[in-house]
Amino acid sequence: MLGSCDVNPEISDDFLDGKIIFDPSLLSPENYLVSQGNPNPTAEQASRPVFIVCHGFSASTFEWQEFVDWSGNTEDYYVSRVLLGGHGRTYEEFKSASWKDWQQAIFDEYEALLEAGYSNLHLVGSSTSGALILEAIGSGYFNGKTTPNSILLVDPIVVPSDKMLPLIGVLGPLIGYTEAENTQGEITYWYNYRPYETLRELQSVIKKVRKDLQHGFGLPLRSFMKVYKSTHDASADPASAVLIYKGITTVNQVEIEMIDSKLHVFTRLQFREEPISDKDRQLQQQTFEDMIRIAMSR
Amino acid sequence: MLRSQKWIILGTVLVFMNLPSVSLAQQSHIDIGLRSQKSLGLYLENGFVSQISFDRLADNRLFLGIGFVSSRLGSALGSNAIKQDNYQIWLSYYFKNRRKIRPFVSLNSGYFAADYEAEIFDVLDRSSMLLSASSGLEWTTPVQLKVNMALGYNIISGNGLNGPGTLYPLFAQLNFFYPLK
Repeated sequence: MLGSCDVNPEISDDFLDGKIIFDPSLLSPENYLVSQGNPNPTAEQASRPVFIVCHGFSASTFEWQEFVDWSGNTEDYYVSRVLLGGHGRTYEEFKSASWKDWQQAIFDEYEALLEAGYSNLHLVGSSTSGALILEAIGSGYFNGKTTPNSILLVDPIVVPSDKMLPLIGVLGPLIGYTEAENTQGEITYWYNYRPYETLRELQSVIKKVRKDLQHGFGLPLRSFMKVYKSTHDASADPASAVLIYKGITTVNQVEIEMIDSKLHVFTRLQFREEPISDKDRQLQQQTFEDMIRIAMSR
Repeated sequence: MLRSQKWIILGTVLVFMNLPSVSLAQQSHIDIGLRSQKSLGLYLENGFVSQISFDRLADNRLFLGIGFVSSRLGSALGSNAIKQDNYQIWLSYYFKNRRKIRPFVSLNSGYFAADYEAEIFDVLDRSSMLLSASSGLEWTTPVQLKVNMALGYNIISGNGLNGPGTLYPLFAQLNFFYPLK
């Protein structure tokens, strides 16, 4: 974690953080959200699986672009890409959003899909979205609603790899923000500066999820959960998978697969600093295929 | 636990148990007590501790201690927290010997092991050598009970790439020592 004593960073126009580049889903949500792209589905369309894919902290809808590209023009299922609240916008908007704002965007699309008549919903969360979805389950969000048929989590974060994160409330005001080490390709899709307020929100939600798991909670009755977790991950500690395994109390509804990878959110390969190997591509494809298999079997 | 690590711990315990007889010419002091340890950002772990010092060794300022603390007696008690054990040894040096409140510094080592309870997690690091430094204050109460608080830093901790993920760097300790001898 790189830090600075300046309160606000100097933001280049090339960065997502600036006032020129935004997540494209803000300009044309109908191309990203199924509820807006096809708000009046036929009975057949409404019964197709809809993957509601949600990105991680400081990322944007781009994180799931490769799944969309891989899916091509399939008519077997839909992919609805959610932009988390406070994300994909300016640095100031990112700074002022809480984790509940991040989460609300998931709820908005979930409820809009139900309202439109879609009934075969599958929640997919990477990294922090994994924590946001777990929080929603633990706090009873799905009680009384049509529940997701499957919940698929890729590198969910419950235990941070950076073990100093719990101190962000104390150290944050001193450092102001941290700077990510993004590649040239990543700078328009990921925030390059992370205000300490956002890191404090991240710590707040993962701490809540950890405590909820510690007490234990069950999945919605008809839901199945699968967790795909990299064995070496510099952002979401692999022990996160252990806590989920121990904390979800319903039997036979959770499957964990440990993925032999050193990438955080190993399903996104584009614009990585590390060279991408054939094995990385294979793991990505296997996971996409597995997600489809689970959705089609339920 | 590796075989060599088991021998190191066993050897340390045996040496500790034999210290009073080895140093017959010296007056030794043995404390026993309880330790409560909180990783900053994670679990509360509780357990048992003991330490020994000698009049003629650094004027009773140097203590050699052993302890066992576990989340089984803390956060994991009746919850889904990960069960993890710390086998600890340490060397502490106390300043201002005749004061009721004495500052001290410690160099700590030992062995850490977490129980992930499922084969699927066998690919993850679950154990580690412990190496930490800590410092704090000890208050000797009128009834001889010593209350001791410290802050410490684990030099070896998990970082997502290596090491157990629930071994955190910063910790606080509250110890209660009572003199046996």
